[in-house]
Amino acid sequence: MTRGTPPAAAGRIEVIVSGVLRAGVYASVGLIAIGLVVWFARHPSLLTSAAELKLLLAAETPVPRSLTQVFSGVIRGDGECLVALGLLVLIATPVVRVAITGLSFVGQRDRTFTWISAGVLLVLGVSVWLGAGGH
Amino acid sequence: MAGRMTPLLFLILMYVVSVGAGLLGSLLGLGGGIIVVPALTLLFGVDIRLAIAASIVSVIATSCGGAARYIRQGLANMRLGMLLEVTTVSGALAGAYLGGLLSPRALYLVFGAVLGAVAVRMLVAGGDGTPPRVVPDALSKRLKLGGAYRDAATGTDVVYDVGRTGVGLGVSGLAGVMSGLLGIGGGAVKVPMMNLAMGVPMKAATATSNMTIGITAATSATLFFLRGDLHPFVAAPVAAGVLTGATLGAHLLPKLKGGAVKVIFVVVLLYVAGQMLYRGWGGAS
Repeated sequence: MTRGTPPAAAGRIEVIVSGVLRAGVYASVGLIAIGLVVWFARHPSLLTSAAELKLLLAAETPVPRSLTQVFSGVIRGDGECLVALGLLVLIATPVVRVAITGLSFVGQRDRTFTWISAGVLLVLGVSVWLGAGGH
Repeated sequence: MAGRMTPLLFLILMYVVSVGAGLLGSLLGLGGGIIVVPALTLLFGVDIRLAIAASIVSVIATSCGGAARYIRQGLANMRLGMLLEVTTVSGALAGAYLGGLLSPRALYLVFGAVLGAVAVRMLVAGGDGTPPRVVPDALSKRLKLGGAYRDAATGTDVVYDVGRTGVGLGVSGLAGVMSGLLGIGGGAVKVPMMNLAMGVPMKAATATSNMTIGITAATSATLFFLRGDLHPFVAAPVAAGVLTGATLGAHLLPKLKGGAVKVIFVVVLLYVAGQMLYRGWGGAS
C-alpha cells in the first residue's frame, strides 16, 4: 500500500469524528482569542495593573457559572463571557464525539455498543443535573 | 516577582508553560495536568481549586487536539475506548462530587505508590512497548474489542487481541475518580493498564487513552463550571497553550518508535509518583 494511506481501521466515521474534534477545537480557540482581545480592549488596566491580576486569580472573585450568564454576557459583548463560551465549546466537543460514535453504532445495528454509548451520555447528564442542583 | 506581574505577563508566561505541558501530555497520553497544576499553584500562586478546574479543561484540550489526529490515523480503538468510558466517566463524576469527603493526602499517597509500582514494573518488563500476549476473555470476544493499525515508524500493520476486560473496566473507574478529584486526565494509569494488563500495543494504548480522557474530563469540568470554579482568565491561557502543544505532539507521535515513547513515559511516571508521595507525606499542598 502507498504511504499515508489510512489503515483499514480508519473508516468514514473516524474521518467525521476527527473533523468534529478539530472543528470544536478551532471554534473554542477562536472564541477564547476574540474574548481575550475584547477583554483587554475594554479594560486597558489589564495591561499594566498588578492589582488587577490578584483580583483575577482570587477564588472569591465571581465568574460566569451558568449558560444564561454566559450567553447574556456574550450578547453584551463581555470579554470574560466570550472566553467562557470558548471553554464551554471545548467541554462540549468530546460529548459530541461520543454522540456521533454512538450514532455510528446505531447505523451498524450494533445494539450492545449503542447501549454502551447511551450509558456514557447518561452519566454526563447526571453530572449536569448534579451541578445545576447547586452546592 | 509574582507581586508585580501584570495580567498580560501572566497570560504570556502561562501560555508558554502550557505549550510545554501539552506537548509532553500529547506524547504520553496524559492531559498535562500534572505540569499545569504545580505551575499554577507554585509559580503563580493560584488557588488549588481554580488550578484543578483550569487543568481539567486543558485535559480536554489535549484529548481533542491529539485524538483528532490519532482517530484518523486509526490508532485509537473506538470500541475499547467507548466501553472503558462507561466506568471512567462514572468514576470522574464520583470523584468530582465526593472530592470533599476524602482525605487528599491519603489519595496522593495511594496514587503515588501505584504510579511508582507501575513505572518500576514497566522498567523491569523491558522491551519496546510491545505488549505481552494475552488471551481474549469472553467479554472481549463478544464485544470484538481487538484492534489493528498501521505503524508509521516501521510501516507494518499491527493486529492485537484485548484481554482482562474486567480489570480494564475496574482500573478505568479508579482512573476516572482520580481525574475528577485531582484535575488530571488519568492517562498515567490507563496507558500502562491497557499496555501491560490488556495487551494493547503502546501506541494504540496511548491514542485510546488520549481519546477517553476527553469525555472523562468534560464530565468533571461540567461540575466545576456550574460550581463557579472555572475562572476564564486562568483557564484561557492554559487551554490555548495546551492545544498548541498537543497539536505539535500529535505530529511527532507516529514518527517515534514505541521504545522512545516508553522511556519518556517511565521518567514522567517516576517524577509524578515522587511528587505525589511528597505531598501525601505532608510536603507542599
